[in-house]
Amino acid sequence: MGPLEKENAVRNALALSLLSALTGVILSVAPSPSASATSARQMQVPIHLRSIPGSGYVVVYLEISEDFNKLGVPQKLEDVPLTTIPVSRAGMLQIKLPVTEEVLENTSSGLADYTFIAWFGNHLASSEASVPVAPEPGNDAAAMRGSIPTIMFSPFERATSQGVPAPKPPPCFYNAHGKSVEKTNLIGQMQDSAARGSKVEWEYSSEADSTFGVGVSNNPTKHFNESGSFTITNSISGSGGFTAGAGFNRFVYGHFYRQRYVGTAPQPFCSYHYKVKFVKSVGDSFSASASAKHPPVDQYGQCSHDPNGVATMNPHTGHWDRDRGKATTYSSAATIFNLTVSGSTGYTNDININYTNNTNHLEYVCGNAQLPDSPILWSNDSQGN
Amino acid sequence: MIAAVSLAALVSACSSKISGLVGNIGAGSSAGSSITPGRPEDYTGFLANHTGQVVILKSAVLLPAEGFRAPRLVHEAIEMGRVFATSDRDWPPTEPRLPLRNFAGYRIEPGREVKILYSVVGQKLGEYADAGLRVTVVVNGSRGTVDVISYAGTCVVSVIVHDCPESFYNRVQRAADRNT
Repeated sequence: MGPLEKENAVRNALALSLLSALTGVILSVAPSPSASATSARQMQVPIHLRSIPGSGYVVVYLEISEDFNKLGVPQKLEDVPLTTIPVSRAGMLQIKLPVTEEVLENTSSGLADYTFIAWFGNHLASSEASVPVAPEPGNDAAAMRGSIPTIMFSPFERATSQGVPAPKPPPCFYNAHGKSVEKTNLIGQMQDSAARGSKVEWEYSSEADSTFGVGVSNNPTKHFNESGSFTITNSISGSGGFTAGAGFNRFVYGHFYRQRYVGTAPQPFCSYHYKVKFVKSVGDSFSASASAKHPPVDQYGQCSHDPNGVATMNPHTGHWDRDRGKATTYSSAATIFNLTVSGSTGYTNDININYTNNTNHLEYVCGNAQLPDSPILWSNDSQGN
Repeated sequence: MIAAVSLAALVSACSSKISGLVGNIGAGSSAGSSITPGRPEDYTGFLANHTGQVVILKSAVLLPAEGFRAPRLVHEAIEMGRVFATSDRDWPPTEPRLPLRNFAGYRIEPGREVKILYSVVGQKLGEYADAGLRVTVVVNGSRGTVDVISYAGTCVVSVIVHDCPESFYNRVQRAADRNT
């Protein structure tokens, strides 16, 4: 084993310990209503239940994707109940997710897809989230940087049943409804100095993960609400990148397949009848047109004023290829019929922004958070150009 | 938490690494530039101290990048302030002039992160690369090492304005990606 392989082995073990420490994983044999869900450990995650009086329950399911078509889009979803957690109120709470063998057997890049239904009397709300349960590099990055998102529930709506059955509800099944639709989603932004001779390159290589909001509704095309998020874990062998020159400042987009699913009736203990999510990346990336809306410029005016640190590139051939260990989250990254959903791309360090300085003077790179791990990067010369 | 502590202890027991020292902050990224033979080229690695103890830096050796000829490590220092060099030339660097502190004996307080500037040379024309530094430290009286990952491609050319082909920097970046 070479020094770097050894380092990787150590880092993976360390990542597991850090992941455990940061996410509150504890060793326990938690009782679970599901016989198949013998819990080896639990993972604490934040949830947000919208306003509703009283107390209730949160049912936690593992979502298993099945029957993939030739595009790699799952045609069936099975939500297997794992546990039912009593909650004393709505609002911001912490719950413990069971991380069972079944969960670990159904991960992609170490991420497990959980779905949730909150029951408060005869009202329900839903959510879902792709949670890093195994110490893959991207999960390491996400967990270590405190990036496990709060699981946001849809608004509460009146249910057809009178609440969750004890001790556990039945599984929920969904089938693909209609064909996959290719959509253009926002995945990032890139900016370069105005100095002639500077160059910037967007490198979108394999296995860049993208997380987009999930839409739920009881109507196939209307009245969608955002219900948590789903992370697409790519395994694309190619890469989609492009190069730009001085003065470039544009948003970057990629293509994704959106799929609508419909619940198999009757499912009185399941949530909304339709759910729509982005389930597959095409794997390309491209910049917005010159006439499209541009990203905001450096909020500090120029890099020399940026309190988060300043990276320098020497004149004549200085290169800096910086990964985006922490992704930028955009509130309007994609649309699901009438619904605009949030999105972020790049937790797995596979989107790089590569700056090259072929000018005859020093160039700076800075960002909106502490360098080198800043989600957004800006570049300018010593004059702020 | 018990699992975390025992795993961290296991990591320490299985290697000479110090648990809580994080040297992979720059992992996945790479830097590079062209330089003339024998002239120093400077890069930056990042090291965070989460040991809960003061960490004292002792020495450093270059981490080779697999598949590349290694340059020779000639200097190390701590960069103070907000500015750091992704790539710089000469020693000490002249553009920009960076406030530096001695590397050997530098004390990293608990919870702090430092920027380590290191300088390499290549004596012959051609392509060189490294993966950063293996740093020897003393923590609470015990000696150990931490790998500060910082992939850098140094292109030794006859005239500075001649750069190496893009493919060289891409190969360095791919090596950095593989070891993320």
